[in-house]
This record gives sequence, C-alpha cells and structure tokens, in this order.
Amino acid sequence: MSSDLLKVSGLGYKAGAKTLLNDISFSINAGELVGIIGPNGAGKSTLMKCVSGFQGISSGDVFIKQQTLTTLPHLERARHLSYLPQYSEAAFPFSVMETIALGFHVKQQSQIMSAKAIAQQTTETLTLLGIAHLQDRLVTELSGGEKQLVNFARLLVQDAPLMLLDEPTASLDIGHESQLMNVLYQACQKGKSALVAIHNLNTAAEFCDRLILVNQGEIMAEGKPNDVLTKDNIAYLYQDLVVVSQHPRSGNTIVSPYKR
Amino acid sequence: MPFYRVTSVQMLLSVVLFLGLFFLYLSLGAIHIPIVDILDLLKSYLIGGRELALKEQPLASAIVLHIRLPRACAAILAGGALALAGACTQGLFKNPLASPDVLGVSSGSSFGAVLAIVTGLSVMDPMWLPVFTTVGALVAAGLIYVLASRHSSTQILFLILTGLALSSLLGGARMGLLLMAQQYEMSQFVFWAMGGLDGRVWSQLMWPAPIIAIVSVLLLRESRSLNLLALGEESAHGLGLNVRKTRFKLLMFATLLTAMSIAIAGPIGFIGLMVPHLVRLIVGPAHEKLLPFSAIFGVIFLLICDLLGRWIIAPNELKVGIITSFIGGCYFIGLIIRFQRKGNLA
Repeated sequence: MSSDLLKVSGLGYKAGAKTLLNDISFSINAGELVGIIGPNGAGKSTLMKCVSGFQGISSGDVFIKQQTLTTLPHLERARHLSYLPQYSEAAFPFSVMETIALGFHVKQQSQIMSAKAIAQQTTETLTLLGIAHLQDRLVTELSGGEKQLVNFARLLVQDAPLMLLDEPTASLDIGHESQLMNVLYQACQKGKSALVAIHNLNTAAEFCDRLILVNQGEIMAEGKPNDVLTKDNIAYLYQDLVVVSQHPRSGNTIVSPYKR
Repeated sequence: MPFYRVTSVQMLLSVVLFLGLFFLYLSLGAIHIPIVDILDLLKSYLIGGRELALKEQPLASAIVLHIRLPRACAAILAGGALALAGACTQGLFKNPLASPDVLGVSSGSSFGAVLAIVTGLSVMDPMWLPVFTTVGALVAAGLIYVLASRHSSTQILFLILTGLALSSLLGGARMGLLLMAQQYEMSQFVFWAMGGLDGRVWSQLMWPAPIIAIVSVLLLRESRSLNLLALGEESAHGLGLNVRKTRFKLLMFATLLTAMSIAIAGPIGFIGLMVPHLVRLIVGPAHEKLLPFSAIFGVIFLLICDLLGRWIIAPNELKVGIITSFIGGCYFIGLIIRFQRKGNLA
C-alpha cells in the first residue's frame, strides 16, 4: 500500500434501494488541497459524510494512514482527521472563544494546554481569519457567514493533519471566501492536507491542487483543475447555462453564468 | 465577554442557600422546632445514634428524623434528579425548552401506576406503586429507543415522534383501565398523579437514592460530551465524539433520573424544563457549570415549593406538584412574552 494520507477505495453508499455513491476511489497525499466539485445532488456532501466516518458506508473502505477508518477509536480518528460539516448550528449561546476552544478537546493527555495558552491560540486563529472582533460575541448572535468562520477556526485549532470541509465558503462574502481559502491553502503549503467540497468552480480552480468531479454518485473526472474543468465536462454538466473562459492572470479556467 | 462568569464563590453561595433552606424546611411546620434544637438533635444522632436523640429530644426526634428529614431528602433527590434530567434532555435534543417528558417516561410511569392501583397491589404493599412506575417508565423509554433506532442511527426526530405515539397509546390504555376501576382506585391514581412528597419514609428512598447518586456522577462526567453535541452531531463526530454511544448513554441517564424521581414523588411537572432553562440564563450554556447548578437549584426549587405547599393552607397541605405546575405555568407565560419581545428563548 502507498503512503497516502487518505485512501478511499471502492466506496459505495446506498439509502434503501437507491445508490447515492458508487465505486468512488481516490487518495490524498500530505500537503495536497483537493476539491470535490459537481452539480447539486451529485453526492458531494454524502461523500464527505462517508469519508469522515459520520455516515456508514455500504461497500469499499476508507483508510487513514493505512488504517481502516472504522477501526480507529473515535478520539484517535479526530486527531488524524477533522471535519467541518455543511450545517453546524450551535443550539445554545456559547461564546465564540468557548466554541473554538472545543477544538482542543482532541488533544492527548501529554499535550493538554493551559487555559491561557488556549485563549492565546484561539485569539491568534481569529486574527488569522480576520474575525478577532468577534471573540467576545455569542455564537447565537452571529450571521451565517460569521458562524462558518468561527467553525473553521475551531477546525484549525483541532490541528489534524487532514481536514475535510463540506462547502466551507457557501455562506461567505467573496472577501471572506478568499481569506478562508487562502488560510486553507497556506496550511496545506505547510504540510496539512484538505479535502473540500466546493460549489464555486472558480474558487476550486484557483486554490485546489487537484479536483475530483462527482456526478450522479460517481467520479466523472479527476486531475489538475484545467484538466477537469474542460469545456466538454462543463457543457455536459451545465449545458449552455454557463460560459467557460480563462483567467487573465493565472490562466485558470473561469466558469461564469450569463444572461441569455 | 458574556455576562455569565460563574466563580466558585457563586457555587458556595448556592450551597449556603441550600443549607439555610434545608434547615428552615426541617424547622417550619405545624410544630415549630428551632434550628438550634435541630442542630443539637443531629449532633446527638451522629454521636449516639437514634436512641440518644430520642432520649434527649423525644418530640423533635420523632418529627425531624421520621417525618421532615425523609421528606426533605425526598425533595433533594427528586428535585436534583429532575433538574439534571432536564438539563441532559435539553442538551441532547439541542432544545432549551425540552423536558424529560419527551422521552415517554411520564406516560410509561403513569400506566405503571394505574396497573399497580387497579390490580390492588398498591394496597397490599405501598412499595408496589414506585416499583410499577419505575418499570413502566423504563419499558416505555426502552420501547421508544428500540422503535426509533430500527434503521442504523437513532434520529432525534424519530425519538420525539415515537415518544408522542407511545404516549398517546399508553394514555389511551391508562384511561381504558381507569374506566373499569373502582372509585377509590380512581382517587388513588388522581392523588398519585398530582405528585407529592407527603408521608415519605426512609424505605421509599433506599433504592432510588444510590441510583440517582451514581447516575448523577456519571452524567456530570459527560459535561464535555454535551457541549460537543450542542455544536450538532456531525461537528461532535468530527471532534472525536462517539455520537451514537453518547446519545444512548445520555438517554439512559435522563430516563433513569426521571424514573427515580417519579418513584419518589410521583410526576412533578416543569422542574425538568424550567430549572435548567433558568440556570442557563444565569451561568451560561457550558454543561460543566449548567449541570451542577441545575441540580442544586432543582433541589432549592422543590424545597421552596414544598414549603409553600405546607404553608399556604396550613394546617392542610397542597401537593407539591400543584405548586410546581402553577409556578411552571407562570414561567412559561413569561417566556412567551419574552419570546415575543426578544425573538429568542435561549
């Protein structure tokens, strides 16, 4: 077996008689930022749930550092793999600091930090994301986008080598979307890895090292962004509803809606 | 920063409040016994046992040790257990107004109570009533869990819907049984259904007490898990929580605590809903603080309600369940007004 950080092999998932995912196989190496793209209902979120272990799978296997995901104790799994779901709404008015501090829950006994160190690292993470002004607020008072950034901050302090993020930028303005993706990109440059389900194809093309295009529960294409976001693939998925062009600076594919 | 930052001083103040109320509870009544005499009596009891206490203060000894102290202990156990069960249920269901009744425990215990009454067992030995209510509560909760988790994972929505369905079924069966019951049996059930602490004796507390103590300690150890669950089940999973196992444990804890409190005091409404909700507004949502403060304020609340029940129409008594329902109803109306003004209940 190779030294992949994450290896998904022949993963299938059925809900009743309906097959939602079929024979999904891919792997992620250390330092890679991989995007999962595809139209609504393609199975991106289901795939993220299955890879995170939250959803049981019907067939195939998920390996983390060559160990089967389901054989890892839960806390141990969370030390290797962090997961930011698409929807995460705090039920009670925890403070932003308290919410982020829950990310330290996974630390081993030998790594347990003082309250002061936790507060310091939490503040640093909030500053990194440009939301230091939120630190004294209650999470129930935040906007959807602010909540998502706070949840991302919690994912960062969890400090797992592999991060799974399901639509992390869905409710963010374009500035915060860029900021979050840049922080994620920098983390991967420093050796972390990330698998991100993402709707915005342009953001995916700009930041991801590799893209996996999922359609109707199966992998339709995989590779470098420009190899996946081809005119043929885009036309197949979105017909003539979008136009494909090239970014003037990076040369990346740009997919835009247009008025017919 | 949020306005709630609870220190150990506040916990100390709560304990002092509880102790003051506890001795007031032992002191007040048809026969007033000064707190100094109660302290002397307890000292004699601790040094020389019941014989010495009885010899030195026969009247106070009979009233305090045999009537008021077991009743106070019943209030402590039932009040603490109900408030803890409520805090646990609200955390588990991510709903600040959830009540342990959602778990179907109350309907199960009511059915058990009617069974014990119409079969005549409760007349043969009063111990049968709490036994039947406990078994009824546990069987109902178990059935709800099994029915709700038939397909892989237990979803909270299925638990609530199954609880509603089973409560309706058991409610119908209970009324059917009552229709065939004698009039004295019906009045016995009505008295039980009011919930009360009057006439409690030590033997009735013997088996619920250790269960409440053990489950309470186990629940306090799950504070962090409840905090993680408040983020949502997927997030909690991502943070290394075994969601399914934890949810099952918490359901069992809330069920056992509610069942034990019903065994002690019958169904007492609103404590499980109101006390944790109010405490959350004061100490914040972190369960490391919420659980112990809920327990102590549950005890304080039930002691006050029972004192009121003993005082309002003295020398007669009002059942404590009537007082808690009345206060709970007022609290609920207050919450609705607050919601209309502020737009949130938390």
